[in-house]
Amino acid sequence: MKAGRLSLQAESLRYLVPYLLFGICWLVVATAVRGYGTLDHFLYIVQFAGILGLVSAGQTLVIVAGGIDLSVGSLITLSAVVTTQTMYANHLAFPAAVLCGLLASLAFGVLSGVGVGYIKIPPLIMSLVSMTLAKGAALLVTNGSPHEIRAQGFQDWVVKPGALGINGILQTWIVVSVLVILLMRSTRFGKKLQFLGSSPKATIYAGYNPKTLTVAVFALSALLSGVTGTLLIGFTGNSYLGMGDAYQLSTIAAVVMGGTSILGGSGSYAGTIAGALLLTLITSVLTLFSVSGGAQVAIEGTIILLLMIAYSTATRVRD
Amino acid sequence: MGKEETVSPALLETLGLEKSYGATRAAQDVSLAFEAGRAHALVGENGAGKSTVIKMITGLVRPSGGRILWRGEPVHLHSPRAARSLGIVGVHQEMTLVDTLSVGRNIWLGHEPLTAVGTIDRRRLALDSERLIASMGLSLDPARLVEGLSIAEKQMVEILKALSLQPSLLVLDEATSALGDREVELLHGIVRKFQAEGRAIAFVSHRMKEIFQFCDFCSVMKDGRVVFQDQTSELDERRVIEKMIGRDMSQGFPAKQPVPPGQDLLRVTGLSTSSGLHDISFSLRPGEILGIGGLQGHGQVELLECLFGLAPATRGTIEIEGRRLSPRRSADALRAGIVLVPEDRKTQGLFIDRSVEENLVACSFDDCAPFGFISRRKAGALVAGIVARMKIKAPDIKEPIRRLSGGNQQKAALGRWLPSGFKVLLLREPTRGIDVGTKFEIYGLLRELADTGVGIILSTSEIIELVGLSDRVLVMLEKGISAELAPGGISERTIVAASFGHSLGESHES
Amino acid sequence: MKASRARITSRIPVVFLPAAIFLAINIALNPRILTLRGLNNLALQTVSLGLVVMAQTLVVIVRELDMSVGAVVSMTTVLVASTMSSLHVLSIPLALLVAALFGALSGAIVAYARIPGIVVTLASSMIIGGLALVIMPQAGGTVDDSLSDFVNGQPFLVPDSFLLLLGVLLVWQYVKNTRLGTAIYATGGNAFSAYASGLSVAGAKIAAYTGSALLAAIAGLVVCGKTMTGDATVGDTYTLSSIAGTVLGGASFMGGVGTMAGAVAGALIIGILVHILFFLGLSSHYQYIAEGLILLAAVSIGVLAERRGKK
Repeated sequence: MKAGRLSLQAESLRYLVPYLLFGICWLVVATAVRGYGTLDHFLYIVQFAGILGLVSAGQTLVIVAGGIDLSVGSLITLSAVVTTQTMYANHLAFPAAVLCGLLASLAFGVLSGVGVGYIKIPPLIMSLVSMTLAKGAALLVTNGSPHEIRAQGFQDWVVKPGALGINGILQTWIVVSVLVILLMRSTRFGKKLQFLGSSPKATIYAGYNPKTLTVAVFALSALLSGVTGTLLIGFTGNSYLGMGDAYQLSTIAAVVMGGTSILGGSGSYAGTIAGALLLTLITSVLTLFSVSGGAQVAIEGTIILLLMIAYSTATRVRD
Repeated sequence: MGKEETVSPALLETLGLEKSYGATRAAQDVSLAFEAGRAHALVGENGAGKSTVIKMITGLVRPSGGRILWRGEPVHLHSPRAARSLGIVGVHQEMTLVDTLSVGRNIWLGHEPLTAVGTIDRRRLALDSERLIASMGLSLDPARLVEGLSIAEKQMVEILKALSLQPSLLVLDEATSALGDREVELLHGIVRKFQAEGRAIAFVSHRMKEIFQFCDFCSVMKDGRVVFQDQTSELDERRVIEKMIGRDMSQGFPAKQPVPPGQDLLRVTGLSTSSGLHDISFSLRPGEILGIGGLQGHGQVELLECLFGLAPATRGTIEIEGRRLSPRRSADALRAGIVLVPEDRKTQGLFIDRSVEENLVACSFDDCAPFGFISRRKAGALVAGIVARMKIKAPDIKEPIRRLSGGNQQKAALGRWLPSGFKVLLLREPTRGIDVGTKFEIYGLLRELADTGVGIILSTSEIIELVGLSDRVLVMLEKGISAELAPGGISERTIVAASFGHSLGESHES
Repeated sequence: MKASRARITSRIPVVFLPAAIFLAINIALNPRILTLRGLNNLALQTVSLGLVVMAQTLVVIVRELDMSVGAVVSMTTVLVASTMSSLHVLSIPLALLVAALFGALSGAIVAYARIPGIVVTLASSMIIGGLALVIMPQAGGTVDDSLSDFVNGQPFLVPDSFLLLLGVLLVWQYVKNTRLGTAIYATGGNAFSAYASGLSVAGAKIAAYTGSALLAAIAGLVVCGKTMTGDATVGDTYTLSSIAGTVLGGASFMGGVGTMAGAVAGALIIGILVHILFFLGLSSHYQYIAEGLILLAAVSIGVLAERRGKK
């Protein structure tokens, strides 16, 4: 019994670490910088982390299943511009326009999944292909000039604090978080994804279909990217080409910082949530100190690299 | 021991060599001598300790005790490179060829002749390769890519690779499993050359024919010890096999029940696959354990995989309970009630890095997660049931299954299918790498399952298991069926004979 | 079936066939290309792409991928443009050294920390690209005429940079025939066999990543000489193109197969395709779609041919 409790702790410890780190950073920042550390500030950070966290949910699932999705950024953009475009040019009602946007992202997710699952193209390359095609599609659909939206009700919901004092972004994030964590912990699909990432060869002997699993997980990731894109236009009132680009590599950073192994097979979205919070906090502090965009990317890359090395060495030492 | 008879001095001698892995003694008190100009065969069953001894003398594994003498001086072989520097070169079962390179490049890989400028001297490499190939009596084009070669040719290239290092002691560990008669003749030529040149050969093999063809001396290992040694001129095949497997284990096996007459559970007719199987026909009755024997690599894996839907058939039919079945995917086979416990539990049969719990429910989602959500209650009950039934010793079911012993892992690999209510159970090397106690637990369980009406197909290279468990045995040879042994005709002798294509109805030919 | 791999080595001349076809189409669309100047321009554009495809091919041969190729190109232009005024010619070896160090570091992490090269170089591309932006947030800097003269100059009727490419190919011919070259091909073909045969798998991987970084840096020099500026974003498109070119050039993701001649052919195909698209008057809106489709087609063909060959 005792052994059981210990081993459970050892696994969860890995995902607790980013929360601890976040707490430490928060305290440091709160004491060092004026105006930081308040509840308002926390909510401010959390809502930006929410955007990152939402799109990173899809990335978490894909990475746990043994893949990687580099198309998330351009799918955010695609969903957003398709929504605004169909509203503007085709005069669709907002809900229908959103649906179009989500379907557009979903289509590319399915494409990625088919490429990886059926043709066996390495996930990194296939998702880059989807990224490029999605960028092109966004360009075509908008003819180079994306639009703003006029959906006041939606925008208000997204931005203004509503039920329980939180806004639409946070409401969505909470719902998605619960769903994704439930998916991974308590559904057969979630377990199969973890099995797929852990021992891909063993899946056929267990009677699973790794091809359909792959399509499903990439489709989910695309859908979540689409949802993020929708929320983003609600947040800014605008859509522009390249609006999702910043998230592309940040999702990987958030997942890795959250303790999920880049090799797949095990992971927790709870960890990614902490990773997103931590990353957003670090980015905001860096911006505060006028650290340039380039330096921020370099720092993110260093963090990812160091964490991967640390996790890889730790796992090997344990065995 | 026969040492007094040696004329030439021993090149390599092991004295009381020992190797333990934790509590398991893989080899103990092994004293062997490999003499210059002689070919020394080392035989024994799976797990007898031969490979362990070979790995110790080629530097792959460090002995736990005992000494190794090279030309009379004690040596420590701490790496293959150290062994090679003395002139001890091993050819092991695992291929070390690079498919994308040519034969010549493979032979000289890592020790290519160089020009003055530091580049590889292509011309000399080609010449040296041709000379070496010709000296072996082969006609292989050194420029040909290894990828297109047959397995027999690849094994010859592996041997050439070892020869290029000019070994004083050449160790062949099951390195000839796929060689045909012609290649064996060529190998004999090499052996003769070695003998003439005063070099030594250590030869580990299951293939009696070769052992008697060109080895002077034979040592039999059993359960980690050397139990018998003599000149091959004083021995015959039957005696060697007796020494190898003569064991009192037969009483440990569960009693066989006569199979009740009735309709076939599984009937296979004229089955051929693109993986090489041709014209396989047999049937399986409920409650029957059908053993599949034969030398490794003669189609056993392909047969099981075809039945499980992993390798579709090109011709022939599979019928289960009278219904035609053409499984194109494992899910098809599962739906029909056929399950497979594959050979490699680490990469195929289990999700080795996941928890015991997760592994045990992995094939029962329909039971404990009918609407997608896993019911903890049902899952818990299911897992507890399997653990109890299989007697799996797992102190913490949330730990990765990697932590369990091999025996318990195998129990899990088999147990995970129990809730599915299968009709046909396919097993491939189910007790490989498992301690004896657990082996018999599994045997008992298989018999219990058969008694409930399940049909079991057991493919194993352990002859003991085939004899002790099977109601009938199919022996496979060259991807076809060499013999079907009925109850009463199943013995080590008949199985081994059929594996080589002999039938023991006639008088013995050794 | 058996000859599939053998066909790969003879695939290289075959790969030049589509290149020739594309060239013919290009000439048909734009006869001006047949002038010496036209050919020189074409050669110039292909050189940097060719070097980058060679870089990726080298890494693909050891069964890895290098996602930092584009970032190294950018970094090189930035380093040269920012230090040339003070260091003059020395800025070139400096840039090459920096690139080599980054490459060696990536290779070491891949080899010793056992992390897949794809993700290591993804992270390193962020670091290198980010640093390049820090050094030079806006495109600019100064580049001596000496470099651009070298790159654009034509002492033998052919741009110097083209000779540079030939020089690199000659160096590769030498390296390929050393034990190191064999180790690289063997590691990619079967890392276990290479190890069991006493080769240094780690050494091969480190060498491949270092070589890749150097080649990408040389490509950066060419780009810098052409544009006369340093630009931290100039390399962005090179990474994807390098992958497409590598596959089109006959290299295999399974490792152990690939040639530099094929890499050049692959680069030619990509370069000419772009040219054709440009002359067909396709608006830049279709640029991404075209890129994506080319990459998808190239990679699919490569992977499917691989699988068919395995049977």
